[in-house]
Amino acid sequence: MRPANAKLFWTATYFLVALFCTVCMLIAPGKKWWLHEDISTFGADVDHLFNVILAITGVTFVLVQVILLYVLWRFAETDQPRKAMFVHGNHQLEVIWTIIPAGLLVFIALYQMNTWIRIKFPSNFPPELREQIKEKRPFAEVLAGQFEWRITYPGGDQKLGTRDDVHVLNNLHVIRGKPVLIHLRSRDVLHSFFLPNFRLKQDAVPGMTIPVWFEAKQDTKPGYYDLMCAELCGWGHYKMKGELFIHENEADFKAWLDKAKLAEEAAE
Amino acid sequence: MKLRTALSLAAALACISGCYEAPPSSIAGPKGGYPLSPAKFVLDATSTPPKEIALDAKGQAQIAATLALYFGSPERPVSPIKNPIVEASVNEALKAAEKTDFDPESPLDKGRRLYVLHCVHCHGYYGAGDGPTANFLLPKPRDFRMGEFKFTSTKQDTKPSFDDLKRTVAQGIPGTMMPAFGPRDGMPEIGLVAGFAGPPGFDVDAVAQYVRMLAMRGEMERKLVASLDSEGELTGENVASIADGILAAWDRAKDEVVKPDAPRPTLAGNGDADRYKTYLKEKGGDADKALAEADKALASNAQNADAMAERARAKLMKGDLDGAIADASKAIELKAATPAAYTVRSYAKGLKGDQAGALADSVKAGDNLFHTDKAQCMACHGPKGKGDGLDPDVTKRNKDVWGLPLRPADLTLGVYRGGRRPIDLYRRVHTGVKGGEMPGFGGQLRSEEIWNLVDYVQSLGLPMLETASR
Repeated sequence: MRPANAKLFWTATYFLVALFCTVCMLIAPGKKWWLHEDISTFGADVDHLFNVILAITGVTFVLVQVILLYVLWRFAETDQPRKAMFVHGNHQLEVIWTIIPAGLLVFIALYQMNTWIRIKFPSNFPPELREQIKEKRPFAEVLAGQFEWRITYPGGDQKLGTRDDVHVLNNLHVIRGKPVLIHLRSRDVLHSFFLPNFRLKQDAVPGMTIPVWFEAKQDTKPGYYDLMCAELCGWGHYKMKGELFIHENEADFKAWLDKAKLAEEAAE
Repeated sequence: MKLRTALSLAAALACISGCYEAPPSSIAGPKGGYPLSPAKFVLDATSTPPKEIALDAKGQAQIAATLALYFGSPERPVSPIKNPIVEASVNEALKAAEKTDFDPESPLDKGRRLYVLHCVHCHGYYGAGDGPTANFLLPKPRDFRMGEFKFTSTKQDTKPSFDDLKRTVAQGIPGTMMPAFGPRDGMPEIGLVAGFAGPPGFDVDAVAQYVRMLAMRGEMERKLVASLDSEGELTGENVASIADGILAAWDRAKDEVVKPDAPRPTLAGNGDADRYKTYLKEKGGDADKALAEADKALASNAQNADAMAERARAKLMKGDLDGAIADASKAIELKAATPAAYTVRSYAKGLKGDQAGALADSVKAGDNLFHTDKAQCMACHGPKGKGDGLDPDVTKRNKDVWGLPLRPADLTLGVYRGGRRPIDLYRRVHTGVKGGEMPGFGGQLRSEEIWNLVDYVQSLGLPMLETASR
C-alpha cells in the first residue's frame, strides 16, 4: 500500500471503530442492550454511579479518539519522508495530563463513597440486619464451592447448625420488600457472589464469613432471577450458576421452605 | 503460510465447538464404527500389579461385535436386546448389529447427546472415567464400566435402582466434583423438591438411561474378556449367560430397595405408631417369655443392667411405655453404656409423643453403638467420627474396586455423598458403600438401632448440637 493510501485507510478504520462504539453507546438504552432489570432498593444508586462513570469515560473516549484521528492524519508518513527528530518532553503538557485524570479519580472516589459505605459496611446495614449480624442469625448462609452454591436456611429456630436447617443447592429464595442478610463463605477458592438484578457483587473468601445484604423492591415481579459466580474459580466457572427466586410474601416463602424441609426429612 | 493459519484456526474452532475424543480404534460400522477393547485389558485394578489380559485381534473383534449386537455403537445406542443371535461370526454379528433398531428420537439417544455435551469431559466417551478433565479431579470421576455404583438405595450386592442413578445425576455428589443437573423445580417423583439449576434442556431420565447402558456395556465387556481368557474362546452359551445375568441383575434392582422396618424413633408416635407396633410384634419375639426371663435374671442379680434393659424391651413390646422408660432409666443408671436401654427409651418416648426426649435418647443410643463392638463404627470413623480410626498405613493401602484410594468418611463435616436425608443415611448404614470398604450393617443391626446411628451421625455433622462438648 502506498503511504498516502495507508494514511487514509488507518484514519478511516479508527474513525469507523470509534464511530461504531459511540453510536452503540448512544442507542444501547433504547435497544435494551443495557443492564439487567433493577429490582434492588439500592440499585438506583449503583446505576447512577455507573452512569456518571460512563459519562466521564464516554467523553474521554470521544476526546481521545478525536485527538488520535487528528494525529494519525496530520503526522502520518507521506510520499516525501521527513527526518525523525528527538523531543525531550513537554513539562506543561505532562502536568496537565497527570492532574486532570488524577482529579477525576479523586472525584469518583469521593463521589461513590456514601453508596459504597451504605451497601458494603456492616455498620451501615439496615438496623434489623445489624441485630442479626450480632446474633449470628442470617436469613441464609451461602457456601460457594467449585462449582456450586450450597445454601442453608436456619429454619424455625433461626440458628444455623441445628437439626431444623434446610439445605438447598443453587437455589436462593428470598422475600420481596424485606432486607435479606446473607452470610457468604467459600469452601475452596475465591468465588464472587453476583446478583446482577440487585447490582450486588461480593467476593467469597475461604476462611471468612462475609455479611452481605440486599432487598428486593416491593413491586418486584415474583419469579426467578440470576445468581452467578463472577470470579474465575476454575475450569467449571462457566457453569457455576444458581438461581434466585423472589417470593411475594413471607407466607409464600414459608410454604416453600416447609416443602423443602419435608423433602429433606424423608425417612421412608 | 496463510493457509496453514486458516487450517489451524479451523481446527481450533472445531475443537472449541465440541469435538470429543474419537474412539481409540474401532472396526467398521456405521458412523465411527464399533469400538475395540484395548489390547491390554485391565481386568482387576485392585491387585498389585493390576491384572491385565492381552487380547489378540480376533478376540477384540469378537467382543466388539458381541457388544455391538447388544448395545449398538456409542454413536447409535440401542436398548439391550434379549437373546440376540450370539452364535454368529464377527461379520454376521456386525451386519445384524447394523440392523438393530436405532431410534434417533429415543430417550437413549437423547441421553447420549446430553452425555456428550455435559458428562463426557469427566466420565469419558465410554464411561471409563477418563475424560480430559478427569486428571484434575479428586476423587476421580466414576468409571461406569465396573457396573458398580457406590451410593444406592438397594440392598448389599445388588445393582442400583434406576431412581438411584437419576437421583445422583439430579442432586450431584456433595464433597466431590459431581455437579447437580436437576431441574430448578426439583423432581418430586424421586423426592427432590428444592430446586437445582441444571442446564436448560437437560433430561435427567434420558442421561440416566444412557449411563445405565454404559454400565451394562462396560460390565459385559469385562466379563466377556474374563470368559475369553478362561475358556479360550467365546461361546454363544457363555455370552448369553453373561448378558442375561447382567440384564436380570439390573431388572431386579427396583425390587431390592431398602425400606426401614421400624419408623424413626421421633416419628414412632406420630402416625407411625401402628407401624412400629406391628414391627415389634413381627421382629420382637415373645414378649411374655422375654419378660419372665429378664425377671428371673434380675431376681438372681438386681444390679444386672443388661437384664434390666431386656425387661424394658419386653415391657415396650407389651405396650407398658412408662414401665419401659422406668426400667431403661434404671439400666442406664446401673451401667451408662447400655445402648439397648437407650434404644428402648427413645422408642418409648417417641410413642408417648415426646419427640425431643426420643431424639436425645436416640442420639445416646447411637453414640453407644458407634463406640461399641456391635456396630464398630469407631474402628474406621474414629472415636470422634473424624474418619481417623484406621492406622494411617492401612488407609494408604486401602483401595476401592476401581483401584482408587479410599478413606473413611469424616462425619463431622456434615457432607454426605450419598445424600443427607435420614433415609439416605439409613441406607448407607444398612447397605454400606458399594465397591468400597464400608460394609452394610443391615444384617447385624436392628432397624431401630440403625435409626439410632442415623440420629447420632447427623448430630456429629451439626457444629452447635449436643456433641459440641465431645
